[in-house]
Amino acid sequence: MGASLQINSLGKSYGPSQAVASVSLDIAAGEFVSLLGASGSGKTTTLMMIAGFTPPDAGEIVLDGQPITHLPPERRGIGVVFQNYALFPHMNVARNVGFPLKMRRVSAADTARRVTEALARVGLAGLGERLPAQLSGGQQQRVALARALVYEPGLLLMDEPLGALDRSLRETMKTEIRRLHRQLGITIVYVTHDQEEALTLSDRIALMDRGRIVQIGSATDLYERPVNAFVAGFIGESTMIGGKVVRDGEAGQALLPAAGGPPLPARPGALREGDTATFLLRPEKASLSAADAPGSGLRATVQDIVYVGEISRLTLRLDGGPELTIKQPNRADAYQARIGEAVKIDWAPDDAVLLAA
Amino acid sequence: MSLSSAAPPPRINAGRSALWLLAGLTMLFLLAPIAVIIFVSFNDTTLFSFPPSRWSLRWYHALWESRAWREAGWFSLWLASLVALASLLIGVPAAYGLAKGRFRGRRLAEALLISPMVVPVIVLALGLYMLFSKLGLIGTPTSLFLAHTLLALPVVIVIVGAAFRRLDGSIELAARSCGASFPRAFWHIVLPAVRPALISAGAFAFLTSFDEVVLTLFLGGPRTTTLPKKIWESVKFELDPSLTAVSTILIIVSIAALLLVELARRSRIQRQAKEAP
Ligand SMILES: Nc1ncnc2c1ncn2[C@@H]1O[C@H](COP(=O)(O)OP(=O)(O)OP(=O)(O)O)[C@@H](O)[C@H]1O
Ligand SMILES: [Mg+2]
Repeated sequence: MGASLQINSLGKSYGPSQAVASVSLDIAAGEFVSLLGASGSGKTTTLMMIAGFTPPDAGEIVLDGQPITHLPPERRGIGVVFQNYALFPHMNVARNVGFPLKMRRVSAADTARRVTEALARVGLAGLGERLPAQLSGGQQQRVALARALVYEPGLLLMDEPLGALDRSLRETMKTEIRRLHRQLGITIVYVTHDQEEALTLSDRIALMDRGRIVQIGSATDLYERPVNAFVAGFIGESTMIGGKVVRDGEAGQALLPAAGGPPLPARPGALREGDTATFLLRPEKASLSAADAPGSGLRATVQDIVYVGEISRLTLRLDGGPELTIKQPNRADAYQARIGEAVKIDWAPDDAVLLAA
Repeated sequence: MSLSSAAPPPRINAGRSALWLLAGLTMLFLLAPIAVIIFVSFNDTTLFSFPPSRWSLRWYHALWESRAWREAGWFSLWLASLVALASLLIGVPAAYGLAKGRFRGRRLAEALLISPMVVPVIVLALGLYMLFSKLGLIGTPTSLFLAHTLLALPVVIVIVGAAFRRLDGSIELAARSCGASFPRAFWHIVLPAVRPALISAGAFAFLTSFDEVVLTLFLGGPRTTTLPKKIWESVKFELDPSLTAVSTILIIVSIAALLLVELARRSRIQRQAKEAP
């Protein structure tokens, strides 16, 4: 079964630069949490502190209720998978996978049985005699997984485990990792800079920037309810427009673009009228219709259309106002516009978000 | 890459022949002294005649019969083995600390440890002579052991340090996360991963002592006669053809050590060849 993990105000500086600044996380047993962020945002440093390889300057780490902040890595019982696999080059696959058991003084018979099981679990049955150098990248990564799982740790840490694999292999391994997570019920903390990886694998994603967690939540939370423009810009595509918050109808809010143009209706939030704000609209949330069609909507002109298969990406200019990007499905029942055409664009106010600028 | 794949078919021209000739002459110049010594050592006359008039093993036999030569041989072997062992025992941890450690004065420590390699041997000899006479060590086997280890240590640190620097550091971390304490990770994972370098370092440390003359002459006494020193002393009295036999043996030992290094290197190259898909 998985172990729970609490991190309280963890910090680490290298000289004057703060690699990790006051990171707190509360991870439930069996949860899959990704640390997502750009290069240098402190993901690896956070993971290495959990693993025990990097001593934190401040803060506390609690695994299954036990404080482990000052335990050496070998006494934490945490599985770690490295980006470059880190297999022991002089040992064959079976001895690599059996190494954690040897360190735990498990008997030879038990070791042989559990190594066989672990290799079967990652789809490498029968390859125990090979040397790491005789395996493909994907196979080496599976060995690394088997080695990290063979002693049934409650927590598994993975640092960009798919970074060195090619695209199709990455897809396969993603499915494998999901399956293992479901089967074993193990807690996983997974570091990646690939948002698609994070979105498809995780129960929750912690988005990191300059050593801090900017937002933590489900994929939906981060995509639909980003807390600021950084999160909105990092995850998925979006149109962002700066301006001031104004009242819209009875209880609604809208953004009056600084560059001019009509007010843009949005979900009412914590911001007050008169505040400067950023208006955020995901491209797939808006719909298009003919300029003279009945119903609500803002008038706009089609500036550009890029056909990308299942959708077309359209750039529109609101009359007297800013540009918006929208995605239009390439279906017969969706309105198909032409470049230069005057159209009407509409979205549900709840699908647009006002963010503090 | 593209140059070698587009190389023209081999062609014999004047420039190329001249190059071969020059290379051949250089080789001859390098190998001639060794060849002469080996030939003469199998000669059956008391004179240094070349080429040999009659083949024989009499000088090797004479060596074997001479207690002084036998003792010098054993002493050299023992000394070189102990020096290799000691310089590995000290040099490997030192190299590890210098390669992986982050501490103040690391550069300085490294420079100091490697300095015996760059300081002129005669200066080192003089310094050690003054130091050891104070300590009453002159003429003892201990003095030679210490002096040779000092000379062999940089060799070990340079060779093994390069291997530690090349080694992927996450292997050691992986071992720790698998439940190995630092000493166990070092013993089971890090050391085996640099085994070829350990063999090379040991062999070169051995040869450093086995070939050493200057420090041995300065610091030694009657109780510390190594093979090279005995050759030196014998030459001063008379040109005994046994000397060529000893020299041949020295050459064979050196070649054996180099072969060992080459074998260790080959096994690594084969491993890397297999790594490349
Ligand atoms: N050993 C170190 N010494 C000095 N600075 C370091 C060290 N390790 C990390 N840093 C710095 O700390 C910051 C965070 O590094 P970290 O490796 O945690 O980033 P990351 O999010 O894992 O990035 P990447 O996606 O590139 O792996 C970076 O600015 C980095 O330069
Ligand atoms: Mg990283």
